Amino acid sequence: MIGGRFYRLARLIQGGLLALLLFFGLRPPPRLVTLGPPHQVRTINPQMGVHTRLTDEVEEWKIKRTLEMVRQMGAPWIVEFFPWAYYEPEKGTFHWEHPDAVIEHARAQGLTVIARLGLTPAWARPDPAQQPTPLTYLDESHYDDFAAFVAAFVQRYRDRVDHIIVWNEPNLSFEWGQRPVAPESYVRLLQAVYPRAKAANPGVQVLAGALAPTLAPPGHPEGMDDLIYLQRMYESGAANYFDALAAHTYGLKFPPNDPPAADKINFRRVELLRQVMVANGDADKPVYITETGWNDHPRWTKAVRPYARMQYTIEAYEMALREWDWCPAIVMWAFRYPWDAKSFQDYFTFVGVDFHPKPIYLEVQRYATKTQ
Amino acid sequence: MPQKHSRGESAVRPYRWGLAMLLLMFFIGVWLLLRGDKPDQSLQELESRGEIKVCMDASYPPFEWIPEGAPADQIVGLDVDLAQAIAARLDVRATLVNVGWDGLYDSLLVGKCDAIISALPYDPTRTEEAYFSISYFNAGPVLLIRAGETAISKPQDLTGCTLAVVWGSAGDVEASALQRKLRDLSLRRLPDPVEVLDALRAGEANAALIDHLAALQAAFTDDGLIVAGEPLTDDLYVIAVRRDESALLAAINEALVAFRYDGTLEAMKENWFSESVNR
Repeated sequence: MIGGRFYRLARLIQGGLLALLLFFGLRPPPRLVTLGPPHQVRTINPQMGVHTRLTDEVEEWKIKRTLEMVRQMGAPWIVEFFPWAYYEPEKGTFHWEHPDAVIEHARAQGLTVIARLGLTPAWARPDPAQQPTPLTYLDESHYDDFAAFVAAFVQRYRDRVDHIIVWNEPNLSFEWGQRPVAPESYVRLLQAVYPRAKAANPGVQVLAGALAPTLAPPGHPEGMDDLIYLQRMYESGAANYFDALAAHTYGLKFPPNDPPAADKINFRRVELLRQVMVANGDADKPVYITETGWNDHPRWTKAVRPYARMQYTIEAYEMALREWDWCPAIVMWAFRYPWDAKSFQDYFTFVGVDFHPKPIYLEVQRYATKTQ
Repeated sequence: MPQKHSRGESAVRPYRWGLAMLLLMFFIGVWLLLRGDKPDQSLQELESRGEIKVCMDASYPPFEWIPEGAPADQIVGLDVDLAQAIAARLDVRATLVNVGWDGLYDSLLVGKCDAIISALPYDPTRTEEAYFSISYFNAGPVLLIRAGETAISKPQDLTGCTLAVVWGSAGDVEASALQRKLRDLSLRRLPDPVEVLDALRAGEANAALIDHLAALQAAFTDDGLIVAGEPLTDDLYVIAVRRDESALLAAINEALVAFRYDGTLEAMKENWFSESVNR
C-alpha cells in the first residue's frame, strides 16, 4: 500500500519535472540584445560617414556594438551592403531577419543608412555545370527579377531607408560578372529598377553608379575609365533613371588636396565626375561619395603611413564640408571587418575585429566631437 | 538444440548475399556515373596547354609588384619565382595574370587562371570555392631583438621590458593585448617602422614586435638584429586552386615540400627579403 502511494508520488514528481523541462526548453528564448533608447549623432560634420561591413556579421551584439561605435565616432551616415543573393535565395521567398536587425539598430543609433544592393542568387544565374559565374553576374533576362527584389526591399524599409545604390562598380569587369563592362546594359538595369523603386517608395533616392576610379580605356579587360563610363551612361539615356550619383574616390598615395586630372586617380577625381554631370545638364543632382579613404599598410604599394592616413582622412571630411555643397555624404571604407582579411585590406579599417579602436578612430572622433 | 535453418537453406544464403552485394555495387556504379562527376583532369589540362596561369595582385612587395618605371607586365618578387619554380616542376611555363585583390577568387572561379599565388592568406570562409595548399610563409608578428640579447626568447620574457611597435599597426594591437597580460611591460609607439628599428638598435627598447616579413628584412640586412622565436599568431600564406582540382593541389603541395627541404624556398626568401624595397 505504502509502496503504491510512494510510486504514484514519484511518478507525479517525475511528470511535473518533465512538464517544467518542456516549458523552459520550448518557450522562445528571451531577446538578449535590445535596441536600447534612441540616440542622436553628435558631430561638427553632418556629411561624415563610414562603410560598415555587417553583411556577414551573425551575432546581433556585434551589429549593435559596431553601430554604437560609428555614432560615438561622430559619423551620421553609413553605407551597408544588402546582397540580393542572401535575402532571396529562392525566387519570391525573402529572408529579412538580418537586414531588419541592421536597419533597426542603425536607426536606434541615429544613423542614416545608404543601402547598396547587388549580388545575384544562384537561381538567377546560369547553371554552374554549363557556365560557372560569380555572384556579380546578372544577365539582362533577370533585370526584372532584380528590380522586383529592389521594390520589395524599398517597400519594406520605406521611411527607414531612403537611399539605395543600384549595383556596385559596374565599370569593373570583376563587379560585372567577369565580363566586358557595358554602360548601355547598366542603364537598362537602371531603367528596370528605377520605376519599380519609385512605385514602392516615391521618396527613395536612387543612386546610380558607385563607379570605381580606374584609368582603363574602353575595351580594356579589367574595366572602363569612370569618366568615360559616366558619359556613356548619359548617352544611353540614364539621366531620367537616377536621382544622385554614387562615386568611389580613393586617395591612394596622394593627399586630399592633390589637384584632379583625367589621367590620375586621387581623392578629387570626384570633381571630374561632377563636371561630366554638369556638362550633361545634371548639375542639380548630388554626388554621394560612398567609398573613399586611405590605407596604411606598411608595404602595399598604394598605402601611406598611419599618421598621414589620419591627417588625410580628417582633411577629406573637412574638404567635403567646406567646399562641396553638392556632396551630402562622404563615406570612408571601411569601419570594421567581421574577421581579419590578413592582407593590406585590414589597414583600411577604423576598428579591429575585437572592437579595439585604432588610432585613426580616436583622431577622427576627436575631430568630429571637438566643439560639441 | 533445435536447428534454426535446415542444411539446404544455409547453402543458399551465401549465394543470395553475394547477389545482393553485386546488385548494390551495380546501383552504386550507375549512381556515380549519373552524378556526372568528371575525373580530375587539372594536371592533364595544364600539360596539354603547356602553361599554368597564375593570378596575383602585383602591388605587394617583395612578393609581387611592378618596379617603378617598369612595363606593366614586368612583375617581380618571391611569388613570381615560386610560380616559375612550380611551373618548371610541372614541365610547363608560368603565365602571370595581374588581377586586383578583390577579383582574385572570381578570376580563379571563371578560369582566368589555374592558381592564385599572391601572398594569399588562408581564408576559412573560402573553402567552398577553393582548395588551399600548405603554407609557404607565416607572416604573423614576431619579436625582433638585438643580437646577443639572451634574456628574451618568448613574449613571457618581456616583463619589465620596453617593446617598440609601429603606432596603429597589427603589432601595436598584439602588444596592447600582451600588456594586459604581463606586468610592467612598457610600449613605445612610433609612427614609422624605421624609427622602431632605430629605437631597438639604440637600446631605447628591449625588443620590437613587428610582422615576420619586416623582421626578416631587418635581420637579413642588419647583423645586429635577430628574430626571436616563432610568430606570436599565425598569418599563413598559401596557394589556392579551384575546388575539386586535387591533382593540381597535390602537385603544388609536393613542390612546396620539396622546395622547403632542398633550400629553394629559403633561398627565395633570402633573395627577396634582403633587398631594400622602396614602395
